[in-house]
Amino acid sequence: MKYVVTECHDGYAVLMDEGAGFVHAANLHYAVGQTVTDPILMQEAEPAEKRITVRRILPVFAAAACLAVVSAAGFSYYSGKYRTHSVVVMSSDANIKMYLNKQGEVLSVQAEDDYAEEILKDYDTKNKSKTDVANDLLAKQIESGHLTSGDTVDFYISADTNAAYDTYKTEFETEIQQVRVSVQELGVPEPPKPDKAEKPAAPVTPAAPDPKNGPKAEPEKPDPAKDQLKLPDAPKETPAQAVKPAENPRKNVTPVQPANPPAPPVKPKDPPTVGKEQTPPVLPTEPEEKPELLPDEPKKPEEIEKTDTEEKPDDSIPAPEKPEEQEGGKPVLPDPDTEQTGEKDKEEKKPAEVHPPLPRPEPANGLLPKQDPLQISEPPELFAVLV
Amino acid sequence: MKSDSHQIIAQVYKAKTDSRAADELISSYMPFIKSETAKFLKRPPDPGDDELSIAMFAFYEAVRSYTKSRGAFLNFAALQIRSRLIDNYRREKRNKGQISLDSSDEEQTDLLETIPDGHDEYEATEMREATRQEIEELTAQMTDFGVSMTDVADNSPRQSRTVESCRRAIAYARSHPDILEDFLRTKRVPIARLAEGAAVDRKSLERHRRYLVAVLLICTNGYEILRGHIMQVLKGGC
Repeated sequence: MKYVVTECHDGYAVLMDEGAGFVHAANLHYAVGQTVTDPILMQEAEPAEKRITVRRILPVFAAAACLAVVSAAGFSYYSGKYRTHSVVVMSSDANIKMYLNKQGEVLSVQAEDDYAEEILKDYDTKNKSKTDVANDLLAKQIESGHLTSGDTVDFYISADTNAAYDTYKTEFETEIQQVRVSVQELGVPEPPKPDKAEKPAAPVTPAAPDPKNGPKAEPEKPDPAKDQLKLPDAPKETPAQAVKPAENPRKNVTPVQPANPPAPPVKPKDPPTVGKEQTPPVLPTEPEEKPELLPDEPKKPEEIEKTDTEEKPDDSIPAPEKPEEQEGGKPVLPDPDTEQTGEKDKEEKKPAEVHPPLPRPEPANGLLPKQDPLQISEPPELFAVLV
Repeated sequence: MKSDSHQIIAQVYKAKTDSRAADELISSYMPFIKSETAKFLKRPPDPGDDELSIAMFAFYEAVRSYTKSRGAFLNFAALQIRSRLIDNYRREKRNKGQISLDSSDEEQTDLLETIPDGHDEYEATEMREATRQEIEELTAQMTDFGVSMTDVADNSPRQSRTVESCRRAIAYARSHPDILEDFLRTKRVPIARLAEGAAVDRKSLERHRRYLVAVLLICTNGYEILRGHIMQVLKGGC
């Protein structure tokens, strides 16, 4: 690019390039009006590097220190004024949770149940101490009739320090005079809810039936030791009286069936063989073990065999699956299958469980009535008593 | 000693914006400049040495780029001079293998004399003289506007976008002779009209008002050589 020298000084010259740009250049003995092609142009002045000096750092440090002080003060104020340090649960008919700050002032109240919500409706805790709030809420409950003056209200306190707990405890005990106050320490600020505590224990659901056993599976095996523990208070009761279930909904079951032998769980998928069916389920080996309280003499094994043989065609009848069919007033009888499986179990169990078979009444229609699996478990208790 | 350093710093800060003060500062510190050049050349510099001119230019650069955070001015200027001389030495070293047309052979005749020259030296001298007269006239006219060539060089746009804005404004002024007439008559740059007509940012034009004064003057009648020089780039311009 060609440059025209437009001005000359001792230290520099001003050149005009072909793009109408004016630049400074070294004056290499130039003259005004001269055209040059390779001048030494002035370099663009670079901005000076900013050194980190104490004078520059000092304001930054001062600002940072001020910010830190202000932040610490703000955090301290917030922590003492608006941060929850303690929780007090007032447990009566209404469970009310009070959140306190470091000074013990009430930050907010929270209802734990519907009645508590009703009490806290339109209630303002602003500028009120914890005892005032507690007194107000207790007065509301007394007005509504849920509390009387002699009742005891539990206060569960969860505080940061033991000193705070002691202070709160003293304050609640001294300043609340409408009701009796019972203050307890609460590790976890969640009081035990009386609704849940009063609920009865959940019934022990039997274990899910084994798919192999099917619905016919008996709920429990009779445990002789357990049976011994479940001895009735009046052992002199007749078996009939003992057998009669007080809670049995089937009131139409008129005949008081003598005690059946213990019915172990049924295994429906293992149908007994014919030979096994014909064998008597239980043979009384020792006559001394014959219970005296039995109303009827147990049949001899031959008679039992006959009975089983007569009942042989009943084996083809499927096992009862619908217990509703038994509510027609038919007597509840043990299922032969169950007897068979029971016999297997008897071999494994103690001799005390082995009971002589008892005669069964003939079904009216010639068919073996379907058996309620729940009733099978009852005779063992009686029989255990008898044994 | 401390007052001396304060004095030189004051002179330096004054010379940053005042070309006359810069010339005075350079003149007063010529011994220092020669000393630094001599250190580099390891001999006293002659007045005709390019190294001395480069050292003076480096001193001027040091004046313009100096700030107090850079330390003592003379140390900074010495470093600047030495760096510039080293740069020049390296640049000359790159061209060392080439034969200069000014070099003489065994018969003491320059190579330049042996090359057939189509260039007319007389015409070139006349052209340079005519150009000088135009520039002097331009400088005088610029003085009426309160602008010097140094100011124009300082105020010349560097960024391509700004250069383009100025070119569009100049082209718009050239296509509207009435604007140039008003400019010469009022001796004020019609920034608003140029910005509106050329559709450029007004602030950009205001920042480079001195540069616009010089170029608009060149675009007026009377500066054919300078106009022809810059019109090689500004095609279709003045």
